[in-house]
Amino acid sequence: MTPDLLKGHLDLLLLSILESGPLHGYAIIEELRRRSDGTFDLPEGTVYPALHRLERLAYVSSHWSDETGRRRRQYQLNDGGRAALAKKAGEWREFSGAIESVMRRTPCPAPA
Amino acid sequence: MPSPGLIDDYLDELLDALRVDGRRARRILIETEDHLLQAANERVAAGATPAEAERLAIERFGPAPEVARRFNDGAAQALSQRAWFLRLYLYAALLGGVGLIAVGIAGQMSAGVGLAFGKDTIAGDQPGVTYTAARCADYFEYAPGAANCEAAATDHHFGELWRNASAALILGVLAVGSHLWLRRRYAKSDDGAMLPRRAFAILGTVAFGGAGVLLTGFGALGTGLNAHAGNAMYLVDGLVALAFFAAFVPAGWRALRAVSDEARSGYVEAVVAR
Repeated sequence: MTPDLLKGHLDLLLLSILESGPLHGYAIIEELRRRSDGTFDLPEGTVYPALHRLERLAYVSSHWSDETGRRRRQYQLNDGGRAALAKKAGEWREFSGAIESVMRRTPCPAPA
Repeated sequence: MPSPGLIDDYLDELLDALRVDGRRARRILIETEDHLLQAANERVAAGATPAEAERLAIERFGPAPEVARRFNDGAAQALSQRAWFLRLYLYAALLGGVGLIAVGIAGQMSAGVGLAFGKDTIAGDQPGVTYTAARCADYFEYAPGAANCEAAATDHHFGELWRNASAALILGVLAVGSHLWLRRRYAKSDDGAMLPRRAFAILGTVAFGGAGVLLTGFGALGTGLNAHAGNAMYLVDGLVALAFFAAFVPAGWRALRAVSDEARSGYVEAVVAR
């Protein structure tokens, strides 16, 4: 899938992944790849600016951790992020459902 | 384990292209380095050579200018309205405060010169000025012991100059003080960061340099023609402005060189990219 198709949906994907618990950037990217069976294999450098933006919007918070002996930034969803996730997920379901509906419906028969 | 040669080069390139405050830049570099090292280590463990592992990790991360652009855009977009106002105030308080302090110091020094060499050298009216009876009465009310109307007017102007200079000095100190306090208060947030320091340095150098030359020249010319009529005030103001100019010159020069280098390297990149 091209990164352009992901445009506008990256926030939803990242918030969804962080819903299951705090993760650092590398793990978020791996999880994104794993959950999408490799479909969302976007340039890894695009994820970090998106995480920083989500943090500025107060959807996620972050802190340094050094469990592995190296400093890592752990991201976690906060209340604002949960609310945003619920809203975006609802919008996405409505949108994707409408697309599906349009594609499945057979055209009306032409007037006689 | 890969040697971080290519990764270091990549981080340098990323840092050069970032237009964010120092705190965020440092965080971005640490996160990027950690990510690239982990990605490269995993590829080495899977059998790649260290150089190949680094190259692939960097390739997967994306071109440094593109990654930096995303960070830069995000920083600009996500800046809150409060942060914009705070930055505007910080900048205005610093610029205005330094200017007011310069005016205040010049006024105090002028007052000192006036007390030493005669108030008319600082606040005297131009020769040939005529005073109406009403104006004279106002001046004598201010300086009842003055020998004549001209001396009373000079006393009045001198007092006015000293009061205004004192007010400017106090306001300037308050403005710079509030700037420093707010900078410290918001030092850990993005709100107080990213002041246009280069613009401040260049603007200060040009403003004080220009004011210094003009005021000193005006005062010197006036002194050559007539030693009185406040010409010493222009000289003192000009010399104070030149002292501030001298203080600004190193930072202004560095800022100009940095801007010039960036413009040149941007031009070279554009030519190479053609």
